[in-house]
This record gives sequence, structure tokens and C-alpha cells, in this order.
Amino acid sequence: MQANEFEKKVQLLMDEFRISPSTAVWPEVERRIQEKKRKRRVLFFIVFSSIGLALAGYGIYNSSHHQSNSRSEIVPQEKITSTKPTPALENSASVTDKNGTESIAITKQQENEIAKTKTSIPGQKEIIVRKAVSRKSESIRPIQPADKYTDNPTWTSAAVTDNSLPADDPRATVVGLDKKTHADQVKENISRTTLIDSTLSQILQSNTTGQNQTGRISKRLQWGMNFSAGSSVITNNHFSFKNSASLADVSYSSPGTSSTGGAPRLPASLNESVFAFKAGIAAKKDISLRSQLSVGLQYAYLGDHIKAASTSTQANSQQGSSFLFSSYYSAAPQKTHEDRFHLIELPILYHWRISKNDKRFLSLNAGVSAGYLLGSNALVYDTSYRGIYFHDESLLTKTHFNVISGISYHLAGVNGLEWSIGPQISFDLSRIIKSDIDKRRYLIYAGIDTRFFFDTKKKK
Amino acid sequence: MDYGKLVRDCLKGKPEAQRQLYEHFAETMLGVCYRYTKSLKDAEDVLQEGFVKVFLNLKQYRSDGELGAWIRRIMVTTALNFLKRNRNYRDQMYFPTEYLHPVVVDDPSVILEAKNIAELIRQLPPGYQTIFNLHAIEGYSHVEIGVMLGITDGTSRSQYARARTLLISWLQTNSADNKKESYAGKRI
Repeated sequence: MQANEFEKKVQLLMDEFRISPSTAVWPEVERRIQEKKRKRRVLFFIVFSSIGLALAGYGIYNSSHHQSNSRSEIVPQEKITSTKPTPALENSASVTDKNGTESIAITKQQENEIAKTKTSIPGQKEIIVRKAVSRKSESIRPIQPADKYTDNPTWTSAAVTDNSLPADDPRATVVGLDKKTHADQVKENISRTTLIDSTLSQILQSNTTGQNQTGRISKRLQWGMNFSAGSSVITNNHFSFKNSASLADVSYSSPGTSSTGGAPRLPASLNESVFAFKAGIAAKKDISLRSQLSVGLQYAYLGDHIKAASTSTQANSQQGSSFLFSSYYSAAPQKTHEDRFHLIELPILYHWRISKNDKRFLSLNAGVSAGYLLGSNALVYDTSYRGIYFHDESLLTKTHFNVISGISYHLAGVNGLEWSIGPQISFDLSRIIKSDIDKRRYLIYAGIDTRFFFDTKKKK
Repeated sequence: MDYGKLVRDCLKGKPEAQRQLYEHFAETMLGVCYRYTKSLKDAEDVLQEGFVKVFLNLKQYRSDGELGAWIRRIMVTTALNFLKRNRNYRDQMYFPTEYLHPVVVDDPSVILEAKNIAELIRQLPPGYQTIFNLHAIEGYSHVEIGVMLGITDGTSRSQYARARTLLISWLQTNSADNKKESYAGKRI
């Protein structure tokens, strides 16, 4: 038998060698395909729904801000009474009904002016009472008859009595409740302002705690810190978890082709994930009952593993004059090399609370971040010199934009802090390595993100 | 068989097309997986994992290539990953390079049968078995094998030479029990 003839015969025989698999294999293959497809769908759903939520939250935030600026009205407009019109109402139409009771019809513009009427509370800060206008369509409407017994020359915004306070408490009579008001009128006012009581009580309460009329949405900016640890790798595609090692299983590579035409070329190393972390400071603000917006500034340490020669070789200046590197590593897989990327990032995240409980809850997080590459020791593959790795900063993209998604568990009011922890994924939208030869393109980071915010309310 | 249409149907998610593709290649591919493993169960595990990869990555298959070769490539890389992951295989994969040296043995004039050859290959130590499969049957060069397995091409050459010698000696004696004992005096 001639040299290599043994191999040829074995190859021919093995090409014909077949074994029937057991019947259990196919059902299991089918099940696993469905399972993996479902997992992919769930992942895409989470990512895109998070992005959708972020956009919706941004829209809500914008519109609510716009509305709060444009809509304002004094709380008990039905209670505006006076014997003398203020300058704002000088042009109002005076209407006398069948009983001879005089009413004043006011215009929309006048309503707005009334809305800004300031009310003074004994022993309290001066506050402005606001309420959303619900009757936009009305331009002119009648108001209550003037109180004949009221000599108060100023306009009272409301006749409000806080029933929860003792009668001798100066706060029991609030906001322009004229002591000379007739008893019947007072009773009527009390009955008609029952709903206003609770609203004003909330306002009074929020005035002291720094919260607005909902009692839950904090206007304060909360400061805190965040730390995230996990792993990162450079993938071939956007929104993909596949590194080159997993892609190699399905890539085209006919055996033996590299040995044709002289010495074989060493292919690019399969890259693998490596430990990565992010740390920084963040500030967050409530934008609705269930949503928050946070902005941060953080340092990110990302990278991947490749294999290259253990020692570098000086580049031949004549042969390699067009190259931007002075030394290179052979692509022979001898030693593990860790590509490290140091970035500074500015993440903007939208947090949407899933559960009703505002002390312990889960939230969906989504957002974007802009980053800048501060430095890197990354090696880039090139087919020169039969396959090499070299370092060249100009082949690395400096500015990066990421899409961030995650879910976190929040725990509020623990030692004056608000804690949150949960998984987070960050997909880079910009190519990290600009070379077309090196197939590594997009940085992906997955890790556990921990945040804590200082509760300034507790400190007070 | 029109592979192009079959692949398109599989990509549309038609279960009958997936089943047809599996049945068409399953026996051949199990033959491939069988050569890399020590038991039929392990071979079926590799086959199963390989076909899952095939179906999930079928969109990456380009119709200008041969479908069988593409699937075979996936099976081989899946088998290699299986060997690396599985401790039983990994721990006895390679022998130290210093104890290895290329050997030359005259090729035997023996009648080769597929089943016998496959069984004998499987009785080689895992490292020999893998390198013999990759070089003699799949046709990879030693440099490529070195990259795939994370060893030097010299180690691949040495181990291949040892595997070939061992296999030929087993074929010559044509006795499975003797063959096993001729390898370092150990039963595998």
C-alpha cells in the first residue's frame, strides 16, 4: 500500500459509514429548536418593549410637563364670591336673575388670572393653589351670588374648612374664610368643599415634605451610585450574543484549503467573553407615579479574550512601511491575550415600575448611552505576514452609542437608601474595530447592575 | 433531492421539511459523530446538538456550497466542542509532547471494512482519535488542527503518526483485544 493510500481508503470507507440514530433523537431536536426560538422571541420582546417603554415614557414626560405649564386654575372657583369686582373682573358681565340675585359671568382669561390668586395661611408658607381646568369649552359661565354679609374687599379663593383640625386652631379656617360669613353660607360652603378639603390637606402636607399634590411623585433629584459586574465580548452582528467561537461552528471553511500555495495562513483566533464591569454616579427623578428617569456618568471596563503568539515581533520597516504598527504578534494560538477597552459613558435610563408597591418592586429599565473610548490595548487581526495581531488605536472607534435594557428589583427605605439590583444588557451600536478583516465588530456587555440612591427625605 | 427548496422550506419553519432534512442526513452524520466519541449515546448527543445548530443557523447556509459538507462541518466542530466540554474526554485528550516522536511504519496490506475501521478508530485514545479523524478523514492540515484544538502543529503531527501506527498495527493483528493491549499496556 502506497503512502497516503491508507488515508484515502479510510476516507472512502468512512464516507460510506452510516448508523441509524434512535427514534428519540428527532423529537428532542424538534423540542430544542422550538425552545431556542421561543427564547429568542422573548429576548427580542424584552429589548424592543423596553425601548418602546422608554420612548413612551419620554413622550409622557414631555406632554405632562407641557400640560402642567399651560393648565392652572384656582381650586374652588365655584366659591368665588365678592361684593366688589377686582380689576381682573371689571369687564365681566353682570347678570341679575329673577330673584334679583346678582351674578358675575367671567371669561376664560379672567379665570386664569383668578387661578394665580395667592392665599395666605397663618403660620404656613404662602402657597399658590392650582387645579386643572376641566371645562375647556366654557368661555363664559355664571358664578355664585355675592355674599351680602361679606365685607372683605379682597377676593377669596376658597371657603375651606379643615375639619380635621380643632376649631380654635388658626389653621382650621383657611384661605379666605371670612369670619363674618353667614352661618348658612358657611354650612353650604362646608358641604360643597368636602372634596376640596382632602386636596388641600395633601397640598399642605406636600408643601412641608417637598412633594407635590399626588404625595408620591418626588420633585427632588436623587443622587446615587451604580456598580455593575458581568462579562463582555465582541460580536459579529448587532444584538447578537454570538462571538467568533460560536460562529466558527457554522462558518464555511473547507478542510485543507489554507495549506495550498506555500505556508498556511493562520486564521483569526476565536474570541471569548471576559470579566467586565461598570461603575459611576447617577441622578434620578420621578416623572410619573410609576416611572423614573436616570442619568449617569460611569467608567466601563470591557473586553474580550483572544489567542495569539506569546512574544511580539518587530515589524520590518521596509516591508511594512504602510503599516501603522511597530510590532506584531503571530496569530498562532499560544497565549491568551485580553483585549481591554476603557470607556467613559453617559447613560440615560427610563425605569418603569411593574408592581403597585412602591417600596419593594420590579422595574423594567431601558435606555441609551453615549460613550467615549479612553484607551485600549486591543489587538486587531490582519492577514499580513501569514496572519498576525497588532495594536493600532486608529482602527478603534472612539465614540460609541449603546442600547441598554434590563430588569431590576428595588428596595426603598433601607438605611436611608434606595437599592436596586438586576440583570442588564448593553448592545453597542457602533463598530469597535474598524477593520474589515477582523470580524469582531460590536461590544456587548451583560451583567448584574446594582444601584443605590440616597434618600434625602430621610436625612431631613 | 432539491436542497435549495428544502432549505427554503426549513427557513419558513415547515416541520415536515425539517424532518425530511434530518432524515436525509442523520445516518451519515451519526457516522461522523460516532467516530469522535466513545459511545453511541455520546454520538447521538452530538448529533442532536449539531442538528439544533444546523436548523438555527440555516439562514447562514449559502446555496452555492454543498449542504452535506456544511452540515458535516457543523457536526465536526460540535463534536470537538463536546470533547472539550466533557471531562471524560478532556482529561485524557493529549499526551505530553516530549514523549511523542514521529514513527514510520509500512502500510499494511489488509482488507479494510468500514465498520471495523470505525470501531478501531474509536478505540484510539481521545487525542489520537480526534487528530486521526480530522487529518485522515476530514482532510484538515496539521496547522488547522493545531488552531482548532489549541495545540501546536508539531503535536498534531506527532499524535497523528502515533495514531496511524497504532491503527495499522491493530489492523495487522486484526484482533480487538490484542489491539487494545498493544496501546501502552492499557485497556481503553
